[in-house]
Amino acid sequence: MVCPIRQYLSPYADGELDSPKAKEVKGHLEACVTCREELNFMLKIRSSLKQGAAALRAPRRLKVKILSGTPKTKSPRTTFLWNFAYTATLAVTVVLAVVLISYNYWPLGKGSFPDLVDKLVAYHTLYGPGGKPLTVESSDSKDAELWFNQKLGLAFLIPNAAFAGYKLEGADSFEHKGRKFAYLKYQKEGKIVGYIVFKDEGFSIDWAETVAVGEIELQIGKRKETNLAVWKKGGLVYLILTDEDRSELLEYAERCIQLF
Amino acid sequence: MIFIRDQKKRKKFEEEALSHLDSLYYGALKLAGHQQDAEDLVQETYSKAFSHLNQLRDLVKIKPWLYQIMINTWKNWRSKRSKEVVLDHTEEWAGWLTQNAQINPQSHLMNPEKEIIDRELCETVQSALMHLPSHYRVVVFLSDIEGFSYKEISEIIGRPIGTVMSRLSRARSHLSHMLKKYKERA
Repeated sequence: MVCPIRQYLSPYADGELDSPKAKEVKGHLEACVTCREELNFMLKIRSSLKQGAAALRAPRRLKVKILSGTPKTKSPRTTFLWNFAYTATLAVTVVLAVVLISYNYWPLGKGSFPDLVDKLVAYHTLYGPGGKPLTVESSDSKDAELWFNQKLGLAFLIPNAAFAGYKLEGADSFEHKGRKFAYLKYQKEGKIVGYIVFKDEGFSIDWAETVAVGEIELQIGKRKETNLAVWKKGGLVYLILTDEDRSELLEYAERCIQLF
Repeated sequence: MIFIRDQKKRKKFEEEALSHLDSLYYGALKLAGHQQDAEDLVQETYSKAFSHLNQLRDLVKIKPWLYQIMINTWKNWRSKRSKEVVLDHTEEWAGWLTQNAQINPQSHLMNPEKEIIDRELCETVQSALMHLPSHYRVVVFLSDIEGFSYKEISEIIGRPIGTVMSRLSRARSHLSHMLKKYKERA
């Protein structure tokens, strides 16, 4: 007889089940060897597929063919005139920008935090199960700490998250509008927790739920299906993103803060 | 200034688009099954993308957008050529693997070295993928290799999320069946 849970293994492996069903599958996997083996084999096949894809490179001639075939926009003369006009306009713009910044009219440091969070949730999604590969694939937090320090000039403690059963998969970084972000990926049975750290530029964070954890003000929010926790410390902003329940997220975030 | 902004935008778009060249080429190989066809498919994909730059609102979504163009292009090719690249001979493939093991006794041994088994599995799974029907292959490489969500895959291939889910389940079931020799060893 085939387990009724079997049909959910595939979406479970992809992190596409809603929380109650995912919990049900998770509980079943703890008891059912057959389903557990099937899931593990599924993940092994996925890993092999990714390995094969990562080893492949497009032929160099293909890039040349693509670039030589891209449509051109304007004639050289028009390009010169536009370049001249651009340079002159740029000079004026720079002067104005300096004036405005100095008068705090254009607060660069403060931006729309909700818009930024939307972008960060989108980036986090890219690292989903079987998603974008990490630059530093290591479960040793020291590797990630060293890499972040060297690459981004960011120094912060990285939780190993073993307390919650999560394993650190690795680290990566990305840029958005000139800002650099450190990304850490934790995984447990197909569930992903993202941990993003970046410099605080005076962001104004005003979410509905606030929890005091010692001296730190932890704020809890949500974007679509992703639960979020954010706090500031030492000039940095720490953001946790996960599909776990709010209560699990809260406990997880509190434990991370207590590591400081 | 508008033109210079367009130039800068175009350059940034080109850089971003070409950063996915290896992934797209791999996907094209899995679709077309032939190196020359794969190169032509990728080239046509980029040509269309560069010609319709204004349709892309957010650079973050460039990868699924490129895949959408490539898959639609490939579908058009298929309908014109009336040719399915790959055979749906799942049972025959499983039988071939067993036969191959008998012909080459070394590969049939229970090799305790996990690395050798993994390497063999890696090579074999690439071939097994090509023996899936094309509509299964597409969802497997969009999900397992590129890591797109079901929603993104649904938008790329133009099918409901439920269809994506069922195709993935069946595709993985087929792959698991084809590779069962490795499952026992794993």
